[in-house]
Amino acid sequence: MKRKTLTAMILMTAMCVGLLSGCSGGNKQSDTPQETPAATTAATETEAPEATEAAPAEDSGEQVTLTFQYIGGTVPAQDAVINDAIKAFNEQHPNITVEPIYIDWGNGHSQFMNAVMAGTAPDIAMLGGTWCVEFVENGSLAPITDYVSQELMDTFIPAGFDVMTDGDGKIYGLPWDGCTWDVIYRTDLFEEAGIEAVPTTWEEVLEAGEKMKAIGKSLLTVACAGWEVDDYYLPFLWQAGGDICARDESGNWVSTMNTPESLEAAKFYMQLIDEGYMPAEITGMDFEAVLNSFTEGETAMMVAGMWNIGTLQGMSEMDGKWATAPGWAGPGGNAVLSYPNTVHITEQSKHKEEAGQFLEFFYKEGYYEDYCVTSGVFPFTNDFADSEYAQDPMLKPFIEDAKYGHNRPATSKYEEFRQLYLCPGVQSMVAGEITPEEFCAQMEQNFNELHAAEN
Amino acid sequence: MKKKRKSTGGAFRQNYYAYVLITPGLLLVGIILIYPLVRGIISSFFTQASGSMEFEAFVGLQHYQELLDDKIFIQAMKNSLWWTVIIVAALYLLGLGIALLLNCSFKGRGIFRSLVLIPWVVPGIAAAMTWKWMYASQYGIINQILQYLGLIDKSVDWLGSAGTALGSIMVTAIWKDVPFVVVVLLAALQSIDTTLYEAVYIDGGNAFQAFWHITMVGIRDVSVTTILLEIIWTFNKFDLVYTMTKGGPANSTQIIPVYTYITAFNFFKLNKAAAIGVVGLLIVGVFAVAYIIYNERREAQES
Repeated sequence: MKRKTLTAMILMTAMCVGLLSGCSGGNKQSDTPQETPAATTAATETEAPEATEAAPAEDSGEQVTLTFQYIGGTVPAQDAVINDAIKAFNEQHPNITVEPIYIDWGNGHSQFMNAVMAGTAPDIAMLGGTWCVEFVENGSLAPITDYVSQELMDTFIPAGFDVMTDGDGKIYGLPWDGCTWDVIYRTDLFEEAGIEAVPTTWEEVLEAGEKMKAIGKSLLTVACAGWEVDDYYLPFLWQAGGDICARDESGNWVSTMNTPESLEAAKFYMQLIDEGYMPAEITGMDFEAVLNSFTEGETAMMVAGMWNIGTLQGMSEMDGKWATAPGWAGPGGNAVLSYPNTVHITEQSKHKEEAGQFLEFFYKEGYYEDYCVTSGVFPFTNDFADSEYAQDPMLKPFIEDAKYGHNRPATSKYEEFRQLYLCPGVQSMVAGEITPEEFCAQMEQNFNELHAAEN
Repeated sequence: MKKKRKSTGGAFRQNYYAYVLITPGLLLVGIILIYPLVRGIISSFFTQASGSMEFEAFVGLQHYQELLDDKIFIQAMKNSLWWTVIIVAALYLLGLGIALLLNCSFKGRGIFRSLVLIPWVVPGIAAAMTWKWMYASQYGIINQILQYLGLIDKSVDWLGSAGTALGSIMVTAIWKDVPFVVVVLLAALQSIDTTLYEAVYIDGGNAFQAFWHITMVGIRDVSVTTILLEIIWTFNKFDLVYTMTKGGPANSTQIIPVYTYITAFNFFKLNKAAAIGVVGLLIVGVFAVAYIIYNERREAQES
């Protein structure tokens, strides 16, 4: 009896342990190459960037597995481009296998942070917009120039590096696909309302708004629900010559929201609502609801991300009813939201050299351009505006306006500021609960309080 | 006393095979439940560097102190209280009403009893997405119906305005959870001995007295249990609000579970999020303890 019980006990414990180890199996893939002798990497790390092409892993004939985490889901064909690139790379470097890890936008940020904390960060990681700011600050990313060539670095629009550059000028990543948010309008409704040209200034926006109101339609609709508010509010702020924040002499972030420029932007935004040129219901509309309102013919114009062009081209009932246009200028000039996502080699990676080789290959062999074009957005390179793809009449305004592109501010607290204060603040203002003056004052206070702890 | 201890020891020796059998289960619970819970509580008293799992410094109650000054936390707490009180009250009243109706004998009762379960089996996210569409201001069916009936002149922005957003999600939450209450109360109603009603009427009692003294007494235990469980579940409900409004507009639907989540996983203020989580745990804990005590007493009475 006793022995039987003992056996049962041991069995149970073994099963239990087995169960638990099964739980952690998901993150195992990058563990295997840990056996790489540290000497290989250490030796090559000191070499000049050009020498990275010598492929250290290949020399030692060692099998290396790289993990490459990317965010997608907007266009299924993206996966095919990534898989083709991986296959072609493996043919050139038989000892390096790249494992793609696909994650969706909703979880992208937290998933990467969790992986960093758990010590299971992928070797290469794509991040959205300005997420990299906090990862540059907390040391999760490796300086990219140690692993890719200067020749590659020179191909990008320099502004793309802004958010991944630290105080000492070190760069921690490469621009990934770029996107511009710009004007898409209903040619049929413009004609019906007798508006001959798409507005190019704030004054013309107001004039067009009045004409559109006369036929019972909203001139403009932008997303203002949830946390999508700021991407569509910031362009007004920039067009007025304002901004969210700036660094003071000691390098600390301070709010610039309580300035005449910022107030002018808030007042203009509210004028559009108060005059009925933009519906007050926007506080319940995300980008999909805006697109629906546009295709239903309720609104004549929307400011929308570039991927919407592809969506509209896929809707035959919209044929001939819409076009794109460059954004309008405010008192502070032209400004649109336009920035690239980013891609990085992580500090935790044991195979930074190989990761650099893969990136170099991906960018130089045309996969980068394929990936961006497939996604309906554009590569953030200097010469792209001249490419054939960029001449498409629908895409052209978006690509050309990239020169007026601004990105969200590069403070690591921006995510918290926008979700807790900026987005709710704009929503309160639209609902008439606070005035533009109160909005500006509150934003300044909230931003500065949030940053006070670290300054 | 001595006798009792002896018998416990004996029971342990007698049943140790059972203890052996439950050990793996206990270990699992310990690792996936107790450890994170304890670590979460401890972490609310520490600070942590970004991107690191290590505790940096002990700060005592500082994170709790911060919560008192945090306007959004205060608002989330208020919203959570309204959210819980209104939903649970509506769930019980509506659930009882439907259960009473379904307890009557009428043709097709079986079909209705099955139909009423549908909202409960719909996954939370799917329900939230569907209701989000129905609430949409420009093309949502709810606005269209209300306009058709002449109840409203202009589309209402149900989820987009601070005045209606929380109430609108409450309606979804009630729709989603009422079947559970119906099923439980219906089972309790069916267990009441019908001769008791006859006795009331023979003694000259009226329908209200029958309802109050027989029906309500008969379902009292189940009612208390259901209400306590619903308080716990409703307070902790996350999926509907997160999917439908993410706490907006203007934080009008911010509730404690959503605020805990975004503090932890959007802003990575893990220690502050732990503190919010502990506050939520304490609130829910009160009802959980009440539930356990009530159950124990009832079992003691029954035996």
